[in-house]
Amino acid sequence: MAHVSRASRIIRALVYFLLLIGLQGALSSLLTQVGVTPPDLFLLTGVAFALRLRALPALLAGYGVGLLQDVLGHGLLGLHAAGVAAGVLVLIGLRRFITDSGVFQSILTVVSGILGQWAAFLILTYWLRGGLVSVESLIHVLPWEAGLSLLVYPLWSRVMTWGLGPRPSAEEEMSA
Amino acid sequence: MSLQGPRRFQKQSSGQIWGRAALLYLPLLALSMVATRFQVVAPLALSSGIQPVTSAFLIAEQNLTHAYVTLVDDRDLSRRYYEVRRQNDVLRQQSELLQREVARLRQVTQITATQAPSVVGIGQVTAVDPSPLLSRLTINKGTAQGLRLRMPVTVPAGLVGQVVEVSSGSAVVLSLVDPESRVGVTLARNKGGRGLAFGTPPDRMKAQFSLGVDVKVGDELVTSSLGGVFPVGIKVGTVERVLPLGPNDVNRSVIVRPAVDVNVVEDVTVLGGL
Repeated sequence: MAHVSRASRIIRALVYFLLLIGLQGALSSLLTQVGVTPPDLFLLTGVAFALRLRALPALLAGYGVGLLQDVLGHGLLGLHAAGVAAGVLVLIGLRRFITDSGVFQSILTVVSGILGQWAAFLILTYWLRGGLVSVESLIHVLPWEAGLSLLVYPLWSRVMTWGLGPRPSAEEEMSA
Repeated sequence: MSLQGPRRFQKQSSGQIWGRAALLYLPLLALSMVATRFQVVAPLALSSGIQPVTSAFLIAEQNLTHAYVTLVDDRDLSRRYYEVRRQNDVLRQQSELLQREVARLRQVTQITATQAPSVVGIGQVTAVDPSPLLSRLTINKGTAQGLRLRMPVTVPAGLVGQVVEVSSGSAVVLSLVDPESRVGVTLARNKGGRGLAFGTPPDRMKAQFSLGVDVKVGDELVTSSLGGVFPVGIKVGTVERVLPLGPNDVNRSVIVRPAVDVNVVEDVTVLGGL
């Protein structure tokens, strides 16, 4: 990405976020018609930040992405922000074990992010004394979300690489 | 100054990095807890600014969904169209058969009312004698259906002939225009007179009356009791021409056009013999 100018990177990031917002809405509209929970592209974006940025910026970026999801969803402001940030936090702890390729690495990445996100949801459910997370949602929502997120991750990671830049390799980090 | 690359890994262990991140997460989580507890609502202007993007993708998604539904519906409609068309063909065929059956039953009713009450059955013409000199029809009824020799065969328009051969499943009908055919005739409407009509191929009959009978062109001829084969009063034909009398003639000969064109007959009614 060294040859890509700063302006180009900004434009790509803007296009990526427009694509993220549009596709997430379209997938939600399409899949909820057939009773399926769509993949969480916002969480995958948080995952991308966790694998590309330093810890604190990644955490803030993840929180920002989740906040954007809350704003677009007209739901509880801060719910997905805490969820995505928690997913990022888990990945920050695991990222030195995660390489950039391989099915197992993809599964570990996505599952870690989703587990972190749902852990935050559980905390907020307890805090709100509400029904955000129930046995019903664990049975019917979590498997679909995890499965479809895993399914789209290989393709979406290419889009994220295009829009947010590639993940720095170990060699790049060591030589920086 | 931020730490990058190897210095980050050298100066801080991953545990320390994660600890600092977790420390940062705590206030973020607290912020979320407060926001969700007090149900803070995002300004509508934030989301309405993105509305065109989401609308464009939603419209695209809806178009895709509608295109898929239309494709599936079209395929289903096409399948249903062919199914209905097939059913229509079957129903048309059944209708054709029923119309034929109704026509036969009407024929039986008409013949029963106008010619003779003893209808044995209705037969379909299955073969025609190819000889130009003979005029014989084969029908698909035989002894199994009660047919016997010399039974009269008619249609509502008039007499066709008589059964001359019969097997278990078919019978041969000698038509009136066959040279071997002989039918006792009389003038219709009780004008009287007794004559004998015999076939003259290919499509006419010659009838002979005694000189005392006043036969004119256009007179209708019906069956008489002569010969004891046919019921009385069935239409045979119309006098077309009266032949001139010769000096030694003892009978008056006339050419008769048959009432029934055997070439176009499809269903015939067989009457019980006298």
